[in-house]
Amino acid sequence: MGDGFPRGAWGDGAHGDPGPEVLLPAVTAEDLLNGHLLLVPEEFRPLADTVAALGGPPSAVELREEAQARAAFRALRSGTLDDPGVSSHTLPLELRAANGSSRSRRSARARHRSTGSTRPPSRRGARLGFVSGVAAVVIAAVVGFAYAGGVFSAHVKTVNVAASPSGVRPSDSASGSAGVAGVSASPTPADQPTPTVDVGVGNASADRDQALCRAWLKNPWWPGVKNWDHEDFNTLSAIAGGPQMVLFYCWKKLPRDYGGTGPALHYPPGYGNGHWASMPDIKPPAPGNGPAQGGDSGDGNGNSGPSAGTQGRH
Amino acid sequence: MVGEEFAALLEAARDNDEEAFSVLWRDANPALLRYLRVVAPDHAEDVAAETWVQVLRGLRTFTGDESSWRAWLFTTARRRVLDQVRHRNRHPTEPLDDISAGEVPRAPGAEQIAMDNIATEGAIALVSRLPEQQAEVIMLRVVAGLDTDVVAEMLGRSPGAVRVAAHRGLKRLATLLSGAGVTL
Repeated sequence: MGDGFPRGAWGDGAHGDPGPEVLLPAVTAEDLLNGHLLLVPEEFRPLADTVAALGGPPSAVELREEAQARAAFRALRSGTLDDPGVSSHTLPLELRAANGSSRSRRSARARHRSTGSTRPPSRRGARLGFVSGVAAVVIAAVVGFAYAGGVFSAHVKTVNVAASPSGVRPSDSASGSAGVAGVSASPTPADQPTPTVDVGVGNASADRDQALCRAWLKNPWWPGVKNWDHEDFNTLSAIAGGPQMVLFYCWKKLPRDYGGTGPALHYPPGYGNGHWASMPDIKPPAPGNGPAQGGDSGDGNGNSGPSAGTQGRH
Repeated sequence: MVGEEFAALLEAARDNDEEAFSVLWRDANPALLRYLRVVAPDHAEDVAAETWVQVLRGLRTFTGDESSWRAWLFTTARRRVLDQVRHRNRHPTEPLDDISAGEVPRAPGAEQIAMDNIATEGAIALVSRLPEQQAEVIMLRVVAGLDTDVVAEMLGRSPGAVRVAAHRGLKRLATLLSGAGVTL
């Protein structure tokens, strides 16, 4: 027999009914739900008693957690209770409060990191090695490009320098200044004036250049001091783009198997012991004051004085 | 129910008065536990403790009368129950088969419960035999003291559906009592 209530997910009356349904007036039901138990008819007294028992006085069991509740209250008031998502029944709240004061705002990951625990050493080492390798490659590439750029720029300067034939000497104006003085006061390669010597080109010129280089390397160092003519050096210097570029110019001109001596031997001590890039602003040594006299007469312009101020002048 | 003193007690509890909070707790916790014993019988005390922690955190910002207070308390408890259900579904627990009897925490025995309030326990056991939704509605209406509209809002149902469920639950309860030999 239906009771007029709609059937649905909240039960249809077939949940283990032990006996015939009891007709419960809606008014009585509302009185029971609203706590108006005195208005319930006597025939429903057992039901009223049951409902009254649901709201009966508290038992000791129901109040035994008061101490924990008070502890939670104190902890929260003091700001030490901040994790409501964890069950607090079996875990004493006092313990959580004691541990949570200084570390409450830090995540577990942060605490883990702060203890010194880091990633596995092997992984860290591999990463460090990889970074070091990349850095080394980059540095090598940069140095290589810079070096090649310097040589290339110097070489470019020499491309437009026309080598004069064997008997032709560049004029004083072409060398920037008269004689060796113009050479000794020459600026850095980038500031070198480009000689405008009107000379021939071709195989003869290349052969002449190689011959000049061979002669210079065979009798290295300064014109007029050693046994190599300073005008030839001026010629080679003008072709190379400056005295400091002579060595590289010859290095490029000569075959790779040329058994020359080291670059340090090809410049006088006043030229930075052969380091062409650190060309000092000095005067060439005076004739006869060089370490190995070759009987040369100098440049004839009075500019073949001591180098680096250590040798006497005319 | 606290009654007219509720507003003063709530204000005092907000001002860190532990005694005031204790009064509120003693008034509400038995009803809360009884409700939880019906809807979450295995974890009633755990959920109750979590509920109070949650309530304490929001105590300063709560505004309302005693009815609102109770609605808030039981709504919080109900959400904690749902969280517990989700959590236990994701993390099933192992049975304590290999724990000796001496290691099992002592719980109050049936004798003690019977001595404390045999009528209340019996009534709760009887309501627990009802369909889940009917039992919850009856507990919220009778034990928590919430009216139909509040319960309907808590459960996401219409007031009519809540009323129907409550009536049907009471009728079934009467039937259970009749079948148990209790004269109606």
